[in-house]
Amino acid sequence: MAGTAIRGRSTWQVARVSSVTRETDAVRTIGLEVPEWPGHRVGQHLDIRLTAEDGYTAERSYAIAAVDGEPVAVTVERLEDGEVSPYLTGELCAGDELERRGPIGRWFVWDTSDGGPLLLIAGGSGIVPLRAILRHRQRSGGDVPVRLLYSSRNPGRCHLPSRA
Amino acid sequence: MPPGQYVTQGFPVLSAGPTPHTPLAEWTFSIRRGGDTLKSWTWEEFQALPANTVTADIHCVTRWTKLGTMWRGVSVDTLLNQVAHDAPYVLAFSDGGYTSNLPVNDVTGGQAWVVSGYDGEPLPAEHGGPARLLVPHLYFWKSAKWVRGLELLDHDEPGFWETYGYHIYGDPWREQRYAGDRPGRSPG
Repeated sequence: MAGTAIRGRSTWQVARVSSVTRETDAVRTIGLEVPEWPGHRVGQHLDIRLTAEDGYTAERSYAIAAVDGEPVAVTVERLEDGEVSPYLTGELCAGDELERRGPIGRWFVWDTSDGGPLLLIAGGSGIVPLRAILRHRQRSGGDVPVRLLYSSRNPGRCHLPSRA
Repeated sequence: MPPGQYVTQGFPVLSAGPTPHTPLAEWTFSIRRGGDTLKSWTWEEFQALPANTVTADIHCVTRWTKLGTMWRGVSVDTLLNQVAHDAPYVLAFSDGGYTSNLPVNDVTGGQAWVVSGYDGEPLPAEHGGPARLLVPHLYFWKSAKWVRGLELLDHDEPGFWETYGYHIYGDPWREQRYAGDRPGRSPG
């Protein structure tokens, strides 16, 4: 099993896009069908790799938006001059395939056993892992006090409902 | 450029904890082995050691690369030459509890420095001042901020990020980001 865990973390595997959900003009949540998902902790991320027809590859890291037990998903904000995010937020469709590895990261994570109180501070797409933390806290019925400070440059890039 | 990196003109700051502010009067740099301090320098003594200006490209595992950064500091050769040892590994240790592990062969031979100057100024605390390790040929998490010394070791011992799943060696040219990534060392 240890070998399986290491392979799951470090090797690239094909994932099929199950859904692309519009959050705002610039933000999409991409659901992924991932065989043999090992489970994850809120706060972790995936590496995503795209390969062009000429073999050129580009890799980026995206925070996992899902809570463990939910379908795997990442939330991506478009950078207008970006190399990867315009494709992920503009052209990617359900049924497409991409490569991923992860979950990755074992430090910036939170579980109910870590306790609190929590002060979560994010700007822009930095909110994605913190939303997962908030939902995990809510779902697990925890009463850990939490405060969130969030800043975004404009409403089109705000990941939260205006009256969240 | 190492694979999977992009160039930034800025100088991103990433930390896993609060920024320490150790007064220079309390600062020391120590070389330790097995609980013994073999050699220790105060800030004044450290500043009196021969220093070099180093220009290097730095590569962060979070994928940014900064080209042509200019540092000033003391070669780790100068420091380790003042103790007799045959240890194959070191663990750099820092204020705040951060550590990073390195083979001695990667911090000697003019490949690593303890720097206290950046771009002609004292190294700012957010970038690891008063002094940080600089090992530019490995991913930059190895270049421990707020470094306070080197522990000589008989065996390789994972440091902070290495314990949390990052690569034990961290060669950017072989994209050794996470534990289990492509093993081996780049030639030369």
